[in-house]
Amino acid sequence: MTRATITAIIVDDEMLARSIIREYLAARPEVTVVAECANGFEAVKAVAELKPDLMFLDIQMPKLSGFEVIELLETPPAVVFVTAFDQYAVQAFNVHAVDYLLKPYTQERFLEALEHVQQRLAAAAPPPPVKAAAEEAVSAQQPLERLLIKEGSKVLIIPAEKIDYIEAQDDYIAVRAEGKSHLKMQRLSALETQLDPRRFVRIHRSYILNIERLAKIELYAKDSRVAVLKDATQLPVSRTGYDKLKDLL
Amino acid sequence: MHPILSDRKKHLLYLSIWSAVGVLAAFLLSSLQTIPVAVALLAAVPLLLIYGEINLTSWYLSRAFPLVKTPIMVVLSVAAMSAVIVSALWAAIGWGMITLAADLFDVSLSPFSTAQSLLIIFITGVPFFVISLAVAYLVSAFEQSTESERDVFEARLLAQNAELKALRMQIDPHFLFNSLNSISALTASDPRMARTMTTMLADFFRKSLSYGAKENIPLREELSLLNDYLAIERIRFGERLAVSITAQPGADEAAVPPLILQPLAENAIKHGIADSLTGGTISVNAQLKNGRLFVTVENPVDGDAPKKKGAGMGVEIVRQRLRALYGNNGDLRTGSADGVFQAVLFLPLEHRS
Repeated sequence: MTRATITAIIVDDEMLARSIIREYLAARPEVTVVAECANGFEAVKAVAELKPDLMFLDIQMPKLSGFEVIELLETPPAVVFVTAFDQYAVQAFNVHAVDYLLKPYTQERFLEALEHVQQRLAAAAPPPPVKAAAEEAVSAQQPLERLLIKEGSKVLIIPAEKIDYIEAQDDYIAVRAEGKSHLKMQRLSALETQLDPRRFVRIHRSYILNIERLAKIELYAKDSRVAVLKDATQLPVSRTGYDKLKDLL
Repeated sequence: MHPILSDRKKHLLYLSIWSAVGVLAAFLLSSLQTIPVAVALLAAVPLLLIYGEINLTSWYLSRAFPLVKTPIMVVLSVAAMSAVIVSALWAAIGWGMITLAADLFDVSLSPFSTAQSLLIIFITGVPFFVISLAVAYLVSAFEQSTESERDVFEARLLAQNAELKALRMQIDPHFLFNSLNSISALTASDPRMARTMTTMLADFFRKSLSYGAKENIPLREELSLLNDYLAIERIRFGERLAVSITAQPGADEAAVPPLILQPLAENAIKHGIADSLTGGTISVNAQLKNGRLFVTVENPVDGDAPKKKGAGMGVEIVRQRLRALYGNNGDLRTGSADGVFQAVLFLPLEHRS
């Protein structure tokens, strides 16, 4: 049986941890390593540019965790987690990881994982819906403390306290922070559940507001109000949004 | 637990002593009252056995009115009253038995000699009960002293267990897993280095076990252990980790609890090096000031680092240990400024005894 060629990237902040994967892969010439990444930023960039079939992914890394990397990818490749921590196994299962290798591991165990990858790829199933689960895995440590946004091959990390407000725009959300808007493909309602409810309020069908930016609320027609922010921006407030604001203030 | 009733053998021995007393009393009775010996035995032995059993209650009295908590006047009046009541009860039983025995063997008793016998029973009963109460007090005092000794011992054992548990948590097991993974990688690429790292790891664990068993160690040893640990991590992190360990002359002889710095160093690795793209220097510095030892552990921090579960556990354990050992004289302060995290530990300057 001939095996199809598989392109892979290795993501681990430790050089030795990457080298062992490369060494084990020598036994499988059909797998080509197209990139080695020492952190999550590089991984997001490499996947976007090289579109590999497979990603060996560490979890605890500088800047971005392994789950955050998956969350940022539009179409994540098949993922094999490689980590010394066993406590993420359930989350890894939820993001449809193909396998979960616990450091240190033998070559037999590694090749078994590779076997699973080949089965998964041969099944030619549609790309597993890992993104939403990854968002969940990331926000498992609720509330969300930072928002990750990919702009081209660049990754932005926006701490929650720097966000002014978030606006829904079709399938996207526009995150307003420090005078700039950043687009992210996510639904406003999904984000609403992840944010700290003591700080962020859904004031309107299309707006989530960081209440620390609020200067005042003005009535401009019957049952219709606007929130005026400290930088004079005006946002519409719905009736239920106004009730929520009243409860909080 | 009653010291006699709880043990069948002791109880039998106790009753046999009372039977012997009963036999003696029977001979005395028969010679005094011209009653056949058999009749006297039948009356006296059961009577004294019953009294023996009654006297066992003195134990409960000694428990109900412990000497340390009860005023002596109360103890004395309780003793006197209970002795009188018990003896009266005994005399009443005695009267019943003497009458029964006389009926059975058809012996006629003069009312006078019966009254005399009852009086004798009552008068001997009082001191017997007082003596048994005194013995009960002695036994409970002895039991209580061994109990309080055991309490002290148990408390010490608990404290030691807590300390041992703390020590076990000093070294993060993931350090071992990651190190073994590095060794596994080196086995192919640099076998000599793999061997070196294996030995370093073994040395580190051996040392930490032997230091951990001690109450305190000189800072010099603690710092050398830290150096071993960081040397292993340097193989794992490569150029991302630089280490600087310094101590003011004299400071390295100060006594410290073993592995007290280990969680701080692990913290520095986890948040300063593992979470940072470029890494940096972990610096450890020891100073003496105003009769105290100050140890500072510093590491760079990356503001973008993802938050981790269980962060701050190690720091909290160090703080708890210091407070348990030194009260207000030892503590850990942490803070960060300008991208540097700092943990300052202080404790009273002592030297190893």
